[in-house]
Amino acid sequence: MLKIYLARHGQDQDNVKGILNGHRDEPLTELGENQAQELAQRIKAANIKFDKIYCSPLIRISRTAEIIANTLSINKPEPMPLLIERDFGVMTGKLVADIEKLCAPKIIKADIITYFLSPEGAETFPQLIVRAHQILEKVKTNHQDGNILLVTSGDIGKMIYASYYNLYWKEVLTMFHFGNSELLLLANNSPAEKTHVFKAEQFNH
Amino acid sequence: MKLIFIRHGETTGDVEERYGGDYDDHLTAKGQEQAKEALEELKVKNIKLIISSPLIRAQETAKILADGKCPIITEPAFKERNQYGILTGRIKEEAMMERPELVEFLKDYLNTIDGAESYQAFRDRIVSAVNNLAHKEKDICRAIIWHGGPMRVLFRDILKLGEIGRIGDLAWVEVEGDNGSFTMTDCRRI
Repeated sequence: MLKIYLARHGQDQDNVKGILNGHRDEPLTELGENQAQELAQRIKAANIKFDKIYCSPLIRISRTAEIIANTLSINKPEPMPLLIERDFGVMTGKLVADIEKLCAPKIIKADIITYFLSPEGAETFPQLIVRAHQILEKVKTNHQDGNILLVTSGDIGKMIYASYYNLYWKEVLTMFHFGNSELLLLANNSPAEKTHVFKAEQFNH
Repeated sequence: MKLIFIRHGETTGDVEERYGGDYDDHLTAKGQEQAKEALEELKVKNIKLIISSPLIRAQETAKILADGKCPIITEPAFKERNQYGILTGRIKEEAMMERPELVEFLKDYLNTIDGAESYQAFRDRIVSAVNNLAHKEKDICRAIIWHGGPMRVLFRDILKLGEIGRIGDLAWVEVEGDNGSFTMTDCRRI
């Protein structure tokens, strides 16, 4: 059976300042490095073994993936360009606190995050669903079974979950929070409602 | 301009594992249920006109989605590609035993089998028909009931989003745009 795990990167320099990162390429904060270490230790303690790790090319993700691979003594993660975070368009570099001011009414409010839907130049969530579909196709073509880890970001990560379980993207946005250094499981024998393997305390603004 | 492209529900051909394309089969009971579910979720879109492929599976889906209220017009250009030529409607397993070389040939969508429509001709008719709709700029929301093949052309050649593979029953995509540009703004079962 093929089991796909999704890990979100640790806190990066933009997260801690409340800046929308998207395709910006800031490194992990010290806390972020610790979060990645902690996640790696939890995976090790739970005896989860990965046959392959794929990651987004952005440094906050590739560094998180590297920490996990080193801790578990497995092969270097393979960068997968398709896994890159959502392009935030004109919202890239803007403040999280200004999302409602700049994007309303085209927003969806979840418990912790307010999602903007279609500012200029941004990928829409339906476009992310298409990319998520293509990521899953690629993984399923390359791997018939085993444990695969995808290290990625919040928005594309949630859409990979939505695509896997064939759920409506709009409903998934408010269904749960996918925080820094959390781990989700996507598998035939794992129900959509029980996707969190590890949750983690969050420290972003 | 707001258009919603919708694939028909499960058909008898699906269940009997036949090569589809340019032929007629019917929605199964499950296919009808799928259409009724989609009707509920699409109510919020306030669809004012339905444009359907002439094939029966699309027409049956259109009728359920129209719910006795919405007008339906038929557009022959939205018909599924005649991809399977002489294998159209044949049970896949039988075709595999009788003509394995044709089944192999069909794996590449760019190949044109005996009696089939070329991908280029098919793509051109779909792109042309979608552009015509887009230019007939209307303030209302219009739904197009069609098939997997045209949906793949939409992703590949119009939205330029690459390969999407098999399209599920009652999968739908909402597209908005001005001046001939298209953005996907909503989707379900993709």
